[in-house]
Amino acid sequence: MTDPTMPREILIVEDDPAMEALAVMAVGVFIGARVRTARTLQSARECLARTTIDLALIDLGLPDGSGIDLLREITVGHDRDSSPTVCVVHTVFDSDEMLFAALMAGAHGYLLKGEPATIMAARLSAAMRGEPAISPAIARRVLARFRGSATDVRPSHLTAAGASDHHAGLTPRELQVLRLIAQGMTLSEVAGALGVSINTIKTQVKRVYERLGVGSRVAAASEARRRGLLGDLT
Amino acid sequence: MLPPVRLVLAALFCFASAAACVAVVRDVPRLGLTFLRSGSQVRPVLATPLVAAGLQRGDSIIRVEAPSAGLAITLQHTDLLEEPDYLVAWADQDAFFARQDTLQRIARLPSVTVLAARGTATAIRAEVSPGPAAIAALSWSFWLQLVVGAVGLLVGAWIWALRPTDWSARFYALTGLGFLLAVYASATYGTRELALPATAFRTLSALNHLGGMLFAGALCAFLAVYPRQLIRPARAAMLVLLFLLWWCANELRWTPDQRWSSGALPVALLIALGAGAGQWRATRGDPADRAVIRWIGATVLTSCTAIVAVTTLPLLVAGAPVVAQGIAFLLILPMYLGMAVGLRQNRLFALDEWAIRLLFWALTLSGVILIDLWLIGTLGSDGGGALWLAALLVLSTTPLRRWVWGRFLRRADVTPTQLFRGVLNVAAAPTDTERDRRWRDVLQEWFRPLHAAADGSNEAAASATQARLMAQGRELTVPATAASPALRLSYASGGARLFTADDVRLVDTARTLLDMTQESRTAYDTGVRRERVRIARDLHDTVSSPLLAGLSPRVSAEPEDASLALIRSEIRRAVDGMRSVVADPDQSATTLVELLADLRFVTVERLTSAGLTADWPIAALDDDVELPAAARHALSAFVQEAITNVIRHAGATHVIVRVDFAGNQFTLLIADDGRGFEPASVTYGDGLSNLQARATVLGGITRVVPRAEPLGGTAVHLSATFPATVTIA
Repeated sequence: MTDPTMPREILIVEDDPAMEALAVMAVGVFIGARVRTARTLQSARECLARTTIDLALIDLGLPDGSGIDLLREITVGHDRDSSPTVCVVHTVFDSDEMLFAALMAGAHGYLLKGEPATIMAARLSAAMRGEPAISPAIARRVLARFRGSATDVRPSHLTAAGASDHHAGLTPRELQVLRLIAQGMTLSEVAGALGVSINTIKTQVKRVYERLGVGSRVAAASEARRRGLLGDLT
Repeated sequence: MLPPVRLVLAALFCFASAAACVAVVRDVPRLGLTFLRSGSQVRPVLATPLVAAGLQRGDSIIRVEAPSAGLAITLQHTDLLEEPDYLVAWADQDAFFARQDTLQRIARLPSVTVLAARGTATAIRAEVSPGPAAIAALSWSFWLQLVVGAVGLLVGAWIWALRPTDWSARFYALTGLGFLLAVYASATYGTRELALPATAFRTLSALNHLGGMLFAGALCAFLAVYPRQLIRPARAAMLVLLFLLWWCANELRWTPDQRWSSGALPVALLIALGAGAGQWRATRGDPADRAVIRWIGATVLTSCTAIVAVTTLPLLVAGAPVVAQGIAFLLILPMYLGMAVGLRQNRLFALDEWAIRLLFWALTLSGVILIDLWLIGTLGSDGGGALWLAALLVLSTTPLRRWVWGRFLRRADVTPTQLFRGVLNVAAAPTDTERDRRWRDVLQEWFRPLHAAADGSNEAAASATQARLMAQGRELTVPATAASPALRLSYASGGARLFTADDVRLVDTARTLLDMTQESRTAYDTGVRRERVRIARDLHDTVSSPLLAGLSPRVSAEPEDASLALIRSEIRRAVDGMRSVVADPDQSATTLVELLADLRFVTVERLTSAGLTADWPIAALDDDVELPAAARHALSAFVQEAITNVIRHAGATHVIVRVDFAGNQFTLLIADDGRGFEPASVTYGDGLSNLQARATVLGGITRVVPRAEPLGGTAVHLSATFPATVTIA
């Protein structure tokens, strides 16, 4: 019962009953866990206040607000590994811009609605094991984000010459890892190529997410809302 | 006054001075005698024969007489002295000038008797009629000195024209002026045949001294303030004044003899050396200024040391010149020519290559003006038809002149259409880098500044919101835009005009327009995104939600049968398709290389988690291409479908994937080591027909081979032509 990768309390925040059923099916892999459901942010908050939740499956568009807000409330004050609740976003749209916003707000992983049950189960288990959600598209966005933060400071023409090599805030090794993933390498392949353990690679990716999140979670969410990407999306 | 105008005026001043020199030299008629310039003989010796008078090379001229006027003078070698300063005693100088005056009066008479000696005893009498000096008869060293003097003044004036309020530029220009005075005066009296009128000679000699003093004083002052201000400019100016007082004292003969004047340059050189050493100390730790003082030291000090060594020292010590003065002045040239090189290498006076372009333009303009003057002067002086010819020539060169002036004086005349087109072009740039480049281009086109650079001078410049005139209109600062830093434009229209309030208004209007265009573009992009989100939401509510409900476990209380599985897979396909339709094209993979990276990542993960090994090398493709959404989706679905088939049906343990894209030919191979399949048993509706359908969307051909090389299992080939390869930056 003390296996940290096996959640005992699971919360599903979802307003659509059909989607809720899908989510319940997905968390079926965790045999013996208790599954609670919430249809609104309000009830989710109440539930979180009452119980220690191990895994939360959160829909982004809820009747009374955005799942992003809930994500932030849960993860604020914790770094990624110490958060008592593993948060996984459950969404129908996989635009990496939105996934990226969710990751920056502290999400540990994401599920696409309607994905085959095996894939869902694999993703949830990965999230519980503390594996970071990553894809080439997300790696590219992270790289672009760090590059962007460098060019925000100085006008683009000044950095044009060395722009592609200038990612303020990334260590050379992190940069290397992200670039390999952006080229389509899986985490274990990256670990093999760099001669380190896969856990090292995972830690590096998580560390990058953490750095992305620090000081930028609020900004990212508000930017996403400004661009009309979140909030009113069910 | 505008820099090019200053420079053109300086060039015309050089020309006028040169013309004055020629006039003074030609004022005294010539006997046609040329003398050997070696100093050993007691009397002047002919260097070339004077055939008409029966005189030969080597004859020494003893006496020149004009019996009709009762004038006669026995020549001495000193009469031919290039430089009267070699006569150090005032009395000697007075005697020299008196003899010069007599000689020139003789030369002005219609007939002159020359008494010459050939060999030891023979005395020859020759009658000579002095005639006006031909331009061609003036010595090459005369012309050389005129050119050298002009170079000094022009380089000095050039720096000063560009930095009129800079004391170092002023002092430097003053050395050029002094140099020109000294050289032109000495060129004039040095190229006389026998004599000049005493007043003219004395005046020229005084000018020569004045030039030398100016040069000496300004040089000291210059090194005292450049590159670092060792003393205040006002104090440095006092140095110049000191040398001018010295000159006055010498001309008033308050000094014991002429050597007191000739000593000025060595004294100045000592001061300059001291100043140079001071500069060396002051620039410690600053490599840029060190380079400047090293360069200045190399050119200025070596030039001046050399000239002191070959002219002044002999004057002070030996009393005889070592080399002809025309040659000696050449030694100064490195000091001025080196400036052009130094500007490029060390950014002397914070100037750059564009300053050299300005010099070039000003000289071209001066050249055109001088050619005109020359045409009218030489051809027109003959009167009558020749004047017409001159006018015709001037007219015929008008296009050239107009071209030169046009290049030089083009004004910013921006019509509203040009303004709008320029701004739109900037706003439409795809990237910030490109936007920055186009903004600079458009400013270049409108104002044609000699120089444009990022204005990183201070915080105020970076945060300014309005264009401003700087340095009395020589510069215009352009505030930063979203993509460009603040810029500083220098010298509008190639330096031919000053920036005006109109230019400020034009820049501010353009920036306002640019901001508005950017804003509306951003608003448009935001609108497109909002619309996309709205469509996504509607699709989700009306299409995907009911579809996904079909996947819900509530519908399948019974164990799944095959048809339900098929329906579910179709539902997933439909949802997948919907996702790709509403995906933001700016954010998801849009190029082939990016899409293949995404596919590889997913595929390798899928195969690995299904217990298969995957071999998909990451190789740089020769080309890349932007794929439209339909093609992206089709290719993605093709790979997923093929992999699904492998996992589900092949019973394979190893899969290889190979992709290639060269020119516009794309090929893909997915092969496994499984059992293959029986073509006869395959029916439509299976994965294979799906592959076929995806390939058709891609405009390509697929071939599925059971039991094929390289692994013995199924091999799926896809080849497609992707149009119009693009370079992805």
